[in-house]
Amino acid sequence: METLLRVEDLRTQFHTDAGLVHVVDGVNLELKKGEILGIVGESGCGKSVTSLSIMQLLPKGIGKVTSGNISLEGKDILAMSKSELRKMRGSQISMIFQEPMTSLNPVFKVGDQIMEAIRFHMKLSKKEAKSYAIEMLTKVGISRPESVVDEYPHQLSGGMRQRVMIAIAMACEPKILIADEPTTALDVTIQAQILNLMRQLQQEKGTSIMLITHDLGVVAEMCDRVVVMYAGQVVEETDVKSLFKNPKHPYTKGLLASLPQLTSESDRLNSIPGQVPALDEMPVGCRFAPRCEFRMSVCETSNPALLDTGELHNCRCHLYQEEGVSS
Amino acid sequence: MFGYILRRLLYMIPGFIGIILITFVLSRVLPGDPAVMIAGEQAPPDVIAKIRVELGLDQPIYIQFVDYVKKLFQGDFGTAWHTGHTVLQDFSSRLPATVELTLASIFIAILIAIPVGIIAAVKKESILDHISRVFSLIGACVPIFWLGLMFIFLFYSKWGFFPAPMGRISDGINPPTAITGLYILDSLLSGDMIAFKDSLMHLILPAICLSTGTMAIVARMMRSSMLEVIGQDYIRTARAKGMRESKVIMKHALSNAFIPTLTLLGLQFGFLIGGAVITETIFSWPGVGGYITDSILATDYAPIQAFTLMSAIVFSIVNLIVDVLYGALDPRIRYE
Ligand SMILES: Nc1ncnc2c1ncn2[C@@H]1O[C@H](COP(=O)(O)OP(=O)(O)OP(=O)(O)O)[C@@H](O)[C@H]1O
Ligand SMILES: [Mg+2]
Repeated sequence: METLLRVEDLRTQFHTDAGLVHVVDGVNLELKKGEILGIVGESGCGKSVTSLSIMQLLPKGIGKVTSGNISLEGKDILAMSKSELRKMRGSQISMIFQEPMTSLNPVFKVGDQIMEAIRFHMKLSKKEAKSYAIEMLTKVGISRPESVVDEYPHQLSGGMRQRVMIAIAMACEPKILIADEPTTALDVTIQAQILNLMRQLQQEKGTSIMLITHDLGVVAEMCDRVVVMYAGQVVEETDVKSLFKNPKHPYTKGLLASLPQLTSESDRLNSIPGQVPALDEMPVGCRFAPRCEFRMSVCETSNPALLDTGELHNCRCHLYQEEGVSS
Repeated sequence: MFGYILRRLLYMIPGFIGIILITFVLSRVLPGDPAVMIAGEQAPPDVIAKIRVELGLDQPIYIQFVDYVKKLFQGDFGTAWHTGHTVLQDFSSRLPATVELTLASIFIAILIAIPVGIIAAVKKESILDHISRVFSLIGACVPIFWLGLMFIFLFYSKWGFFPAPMGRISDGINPPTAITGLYILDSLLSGDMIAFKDSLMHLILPAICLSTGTMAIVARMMRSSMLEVIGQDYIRTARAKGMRESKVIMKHALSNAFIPTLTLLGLQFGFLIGGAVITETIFSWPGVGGYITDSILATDYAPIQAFTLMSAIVFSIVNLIVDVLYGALDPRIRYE
């Protein structure tokens, strides 16, 4: 499969309370045409910052990409002009943001906010755009879409606002949809409906989707491949089957072990002991070492590289690097 | 909506009653006997006593008050002793000058402060931002009388860019035909370019002088509300849709950031009315403000009371309009 989006060694810096720190520190990922790529990892590990870096929508003056490459179909996003970026945003890559309550402009009608993107990228007339907006609202499962187009965001519930955001993101049929926890604010039935909608988009239009989520159940159901992030870095990347069957990185193993298992004899919930290191106190060695049960002395002195351990299963861990070296 | 406006108008009444009471009491408590002012310092006591009876000043104070309120309701604001006209006559001949000055000041303030505030926010921490910060600081704390005198000294006395600070139009030029009473507008409407140019030159200095404080505060307010809005998630959404940056700022950000600034503009109106009194005195502007200064110096109660009441009414109405506009700009606010 052809690669649409490639992120190489991305490093993104933020001004935080702890000073100037790299919150994303060497992220590599690849999104292939028509696939759904899951991104999982603990809160604060840099999932949203990675996607904002791709969109070039980092908050000005606070966050910026310091090194690395992001290319869309071979074109370097980091080198794009402002107008190239504008043409890319919304039509080639769209994003559903994590914050549904605040992502819509309170003073404009919902319909106008959907139509804006449609009219800009698809050059439709006002009337055509409006009926298209109503169609999009119907698609995302909003009942009485004809009246909702003329309503303001404060008149909608959180779930409805999230669906409006999804309608905006999907309206111009982008090649890539970045969905940052698109269903966290929704109840289970609507969640399933939205996930189906994304799947349908992927199957019918061949859209590639980057699905950021905390929910490993959603990953299992939706994704083709998965990237696991920890403390600003990718620690494991593989197809979804091997991730669940044969997780390699101790962090991934911990994540899976902390899932409540219906079949397991013990009903004790496992969780990974310890905490994510603070941004300004990153260990020099492996970032997961302080919490790792397989820790070796080398783990505290050198950070392992993300290496292919066979069958396109990448892992950032000394256990497998040793293996690779000795064999 | 209509009900809301009606209710607001009703709520204003107690405030106005309070103002009538306070100005009345103050004007009687303050030193200076109007009878003496009218008759002259040298007048014999029996003449003064006669005038006191004529004015009703010999009556107990509550009777004077009831008399005063009764007349107010008949549209009688009393007579200004120092001009010999009724207050209403004096006001109607001077009000257009004040309205022209105040409107010009607001216009200048908005025209400059809003773009400056936007640019300062968008180009935060740039040299433009720092310059606007310094000017705002100066503008907000320099007193009007000092600024007015400096303007006259520099732009009239020293460099002669502007005509003498004497009134609205030069002596040799005929005022335009009265349509609205505003010289600028009337001269434009009647196509009298000579009067237009001359009255514009007369208007510029006092209008800038009066607008400075408002301009400074509005620019700072615009900057801070713009900064807050620019950091909001929905601005990021607009960018994510591929919107042009100018559209993101002028449409998505401004429509939200202007709302608090509007409230401030309404409140600044009170400041402008007060500032007009000083500005008109400095520039010999023939408006209500200069007239009020004269009245104060002449211990002439009636115009002062009328002016205070009128200011309160204008201020309340302006702020009612602001609140109604607020509802039109922000769909989250509904008036029933
Ligand atoms: N606007 C910001 N200002 C300062 N620091 C930020 C900002 N946004 C993100 N960060 C920092 O970047 C780090 C990564 O944040 P990010 O939002 O990418 O996490 P995440 O993986 O999306 O987490 P979550 O699952 O909670 O959404 C965090 O530690 C956070 O402190
Ligand atoms: Mg996030």
